[in-house]
Amino acid sequence: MNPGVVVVAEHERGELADITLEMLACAREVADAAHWPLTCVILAAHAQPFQALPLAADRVLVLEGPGLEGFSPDAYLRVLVPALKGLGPGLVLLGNTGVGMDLAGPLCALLGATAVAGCTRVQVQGSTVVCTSRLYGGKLLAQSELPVGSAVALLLPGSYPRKRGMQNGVPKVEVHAAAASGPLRVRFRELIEPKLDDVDVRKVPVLVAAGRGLQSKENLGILDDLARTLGGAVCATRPVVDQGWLPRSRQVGRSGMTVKPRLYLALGISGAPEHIEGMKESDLIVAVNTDPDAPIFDVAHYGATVDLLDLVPALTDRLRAAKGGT
Amino acid sequence: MNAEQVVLTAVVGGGVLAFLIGFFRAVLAVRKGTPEKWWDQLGRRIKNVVVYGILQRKIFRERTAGILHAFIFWAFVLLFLSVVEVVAEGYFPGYRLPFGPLNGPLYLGQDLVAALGIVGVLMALYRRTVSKPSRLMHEGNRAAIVMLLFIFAILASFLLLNAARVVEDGDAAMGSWRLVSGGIAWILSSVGWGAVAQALEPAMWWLHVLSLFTFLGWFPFTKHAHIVFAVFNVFFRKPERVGAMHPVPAASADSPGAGSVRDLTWVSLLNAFACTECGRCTDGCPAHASGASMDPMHLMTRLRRAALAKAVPPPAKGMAADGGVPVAEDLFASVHDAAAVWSCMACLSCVDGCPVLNDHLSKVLEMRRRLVSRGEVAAGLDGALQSLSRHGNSFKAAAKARAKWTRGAQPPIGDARKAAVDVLWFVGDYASYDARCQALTARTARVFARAGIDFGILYEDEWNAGNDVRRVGEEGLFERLRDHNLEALRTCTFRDIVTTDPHTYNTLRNEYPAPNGGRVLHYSELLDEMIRSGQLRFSRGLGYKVTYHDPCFLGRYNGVYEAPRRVLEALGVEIVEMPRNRSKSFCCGAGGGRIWMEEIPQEKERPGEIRVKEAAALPGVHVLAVACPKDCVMFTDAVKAAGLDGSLQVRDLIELVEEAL
Amino acid sequence: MKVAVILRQVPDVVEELVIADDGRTLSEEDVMYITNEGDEHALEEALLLKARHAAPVTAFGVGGEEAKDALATAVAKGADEAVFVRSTPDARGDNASLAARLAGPLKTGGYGLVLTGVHAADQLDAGLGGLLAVQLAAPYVGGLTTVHVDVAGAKAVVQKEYAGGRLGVMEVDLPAVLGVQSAEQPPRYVSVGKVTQARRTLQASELSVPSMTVPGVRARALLRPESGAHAKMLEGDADHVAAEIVALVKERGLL
Repeated sequence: MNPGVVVVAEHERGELADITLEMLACAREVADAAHWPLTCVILAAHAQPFQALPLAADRVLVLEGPGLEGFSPDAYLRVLVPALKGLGPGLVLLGNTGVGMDLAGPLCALLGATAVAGCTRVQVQGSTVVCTSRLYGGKLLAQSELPVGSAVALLLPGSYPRKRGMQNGVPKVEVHAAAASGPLRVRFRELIEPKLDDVDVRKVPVLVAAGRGLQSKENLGILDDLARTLGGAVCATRPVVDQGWLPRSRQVGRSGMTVKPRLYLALGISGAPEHIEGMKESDLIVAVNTDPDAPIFDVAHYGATVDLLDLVPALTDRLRAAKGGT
Repeated sequence: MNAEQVVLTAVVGGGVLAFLIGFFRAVLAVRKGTPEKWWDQLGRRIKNVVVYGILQRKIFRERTAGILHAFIFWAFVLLFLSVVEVVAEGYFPGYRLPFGPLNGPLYLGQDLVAALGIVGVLMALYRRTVSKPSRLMHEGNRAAIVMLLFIFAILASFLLLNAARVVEDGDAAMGSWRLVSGGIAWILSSVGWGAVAQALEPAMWWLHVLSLFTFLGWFPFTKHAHIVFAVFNVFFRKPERVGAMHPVPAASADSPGAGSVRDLTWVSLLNAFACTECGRCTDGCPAHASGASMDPMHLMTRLRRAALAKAVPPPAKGMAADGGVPVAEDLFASVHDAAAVWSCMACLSCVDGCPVLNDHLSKVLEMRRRLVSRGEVAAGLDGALQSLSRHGNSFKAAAKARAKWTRGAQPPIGDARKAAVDVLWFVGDYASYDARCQALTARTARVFARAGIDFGILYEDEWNAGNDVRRVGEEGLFERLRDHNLEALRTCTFRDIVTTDPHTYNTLRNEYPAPNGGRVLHYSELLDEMIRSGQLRFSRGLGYKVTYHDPCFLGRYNGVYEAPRRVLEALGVEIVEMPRNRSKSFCCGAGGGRIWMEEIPQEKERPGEIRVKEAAALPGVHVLAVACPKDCVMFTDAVKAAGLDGSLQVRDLIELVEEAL
Repeated sequence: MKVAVILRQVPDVVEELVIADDGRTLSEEDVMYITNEGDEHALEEALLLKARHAAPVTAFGVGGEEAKDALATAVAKGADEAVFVRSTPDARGDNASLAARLAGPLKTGGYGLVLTGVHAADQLDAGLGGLLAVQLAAPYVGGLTTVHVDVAGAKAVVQKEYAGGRLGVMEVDLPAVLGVQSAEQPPRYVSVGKVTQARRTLQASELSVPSMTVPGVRARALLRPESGAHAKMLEGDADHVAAEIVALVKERGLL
């Protein structure tokens, strides 16, 4: 059997998650280079939403069945393991996400494969899969090899461009019935939405983001003024939300919101990978941090090392003056 | 015995009995404490009693209070003999003390002190009812006024009694000696009220006896117990440097610190009975001023009640008792809760201000030790402590990055680990790691070099000296840091140690074994020495006015007030003092580990902001001179927050020195 | 119900990580070890379960001698039993081998719950929890922020973190392996004095199962990430920077 690349899709409420498209982009690259077929496997309770998507796959395999509403690692594994055994892929791609990480270990153990987590780049060279992955919170990169045929790679969100996961035209779609046999030992019950206060940071064109450099809750006032002057809102990194200075609905990052505003002002944010994941696609990123070595400057378009407590009031004043003038 | 004598006996007996009950009740409460040695340094203890107990030097810090208190105090002391006489008269009419000719001067003295005593009482009443200084206006004010009226009654009745007797028979009453009562007698006779004397005499006699013995029986149950306990408190207080800390005794290693009244020493508990509720401690407390629940005076009064096991839980939420400790004796439930304990800045203002030498801070620190032992640390503190434990600094930065500020320094900074140096510069955490302080540290290095000081630093082998770690109650971590630093110092050769950080200074100087015979100096002391010896000269005088903030750990803890001022004078600046200067300096808010902790929710105004406003209020002063990196950080932020950006500049001593070089 | 917690010792990323001469491992001289953050949260969650259900907690400390310090800390915090799993640096980041090694003792230990961090800073392969779960024939779910146990019903109700701040509520039959993202409260503080005491009196049994290497993945190279594009830095004081930002904002038509 011609080894191929299999992408295990992630989806929610009938829509494919961005990571799926990114995985397809990666898989497309691998498949093109190695002349392998690319199959996208989607497990869902209802196949209908996924039957006409312009995905950059050669084949879309939808495994449809009850028990696949909501994500249960147990249910997914019972359907996925036999499916993958049947496909015998050279490489399986999972998302380095809550879903993918739950599946990776058991999949490897049950399929006799090995995984590399936190991948930013995956390539096939002959009979080896070469993965570049992030270690130590992003401080170091590792290059590893996996044998084709027993390779699983977990792809970090944001490593590949989403649009390359799509193509003109719809690939061949097959729908198979799949049933997770027997009682599940992990049962999905419900999804709890975060309490959104009046602002959905994903819908706001300008975000003024507060990091630990803000130092105290009191300083949020000046950020609020600035945000309002720009017609935007204040958001924050995880540590700031954990301290209770802002509600969780304002958290931007891997376990918070992913935002793509036209302007993202990162104030007092060092740039931990988990945060960057949530904002790096913003149109214009301006970062302010007194530490010139802060990783945020690697993703920002413009930066400054002035004290944010000096800058923010000055900026607000100048913006008001500029607005008043026009 | 006639009826009157029966009543007299009942009054005297009742008063004395009540007094004894009150006294012993307090003694039993104090005995709940753990043992503390009190028979060492007897000479110093006695000296303390004379200076602080009898001459009352600390009360005189506020002159009016000192005077009125001295008047009342000496009235009590010197009228003691008159009490004997007055009571004896009840049983043996006409009784006089058997001092022969000395009775005369004795009566004169008594008259005068009674009169002055009345003056004192009137001054005190005026303060409590008219001028009303805030620190006196706590819930005991009414009781205090009642007590003052009692004292007034005792003294006035004494004078009127004797005045009546002088009217009746001037010679028998030795009227010529009794200046004041004699004077009153003369007034009474002159206005034709002489006949009143006959009724006045027994009335005043009984008033005197009743008010006296009611007072006697009542006072041990009030703050006036200090009359008895204050002197003992001063005697039993360990004669050592203020703010000194002691290692955790081996016996309490499992549960260090204090969670209940019985975990404090008996001397510590005695404090509560010596407390006069004068409020000077709370008045100077920066935590209290900023709105936190810390209140040193109420710490004492509640401790008194807790020791008597009659505590009333504080109005805020109560806490579960510490495993088997009765709630009344549980310090956190009945005296000060954890939030109040964590809000303390360890600035020593309370201890410094207390006229009876109480130590409020040591109780807070003992309670912190217990909280740390239970793992109940304030928010933000666990991160700092973990960072200190792992990396030797509170900034979650690599130990190896400590000397990053030295990069590019010209001339290169000497390495004390590799070569012998004259002065080992123990840089300190904030000076090394805080981005705002690093520029100052580099400047300090330049100034040292220009001044010709042969110095070196420990580079990455230096760890946080541990002063504030100790003061948040993490004694184990302090020992680890100290031992690490001692190991680093052991192999170095140097004459003295210098540091720019008063916190570092305090612990190196007082809590580390003396560094191979050398001294530990604050850089202001070093500069002062060099200026006086002529080694450091300035090319210009800076003409402007500055005000100087005394750092807590340099001033109150170590008595260094003048050296930095001499340096400033040598620079040619004009020093304008803030109202709260030297030992009354108002803390910036960073001490006691507070700079590591999260902000207190109830905080109305940060101590730093309160202080910079005090500085900004001085006419013509635009520079606030500091001598501590944490002060620099706190005040720079405070100036911004208070909107004083244009009008007040915070400048470290070293900046001014460099300017004048 | 007994709870097991796996505490892996990983390099602290605050200190600089130095790549050894062989280009594929870390220079041991410069490594400072700490307990993996996720595992610290797992321990905290375990201690919370202990408080609620009187469930004894066994801590497995994986690493070199420094693991004994981690075990002392765990015991000082409240763990009942300590097991030292001696491990050498070359086994670092190899969860598959660790899972194989721990499988036997965890099985015989009769644990209702095995908790570990969902991710380890040094891990190359799949998460430890999932791999362990298969070895123990137990269910696994990770990314958890809350674990509540219904001892009678022999199941746990957990909350799993999703993107966007959403939480998925799931039920898991016991015995199970769970991957903790963050505990219900921050890992508790324990005083240095208590840890020192615990270290002195520590009675950790050493795992007799030797270190094993199952076929898996090894890094063939360790590299520093290239900092690709870098921000264009705006110079000057706050006022000047403010002016430049206003210009940018106007240029983009955001005003």
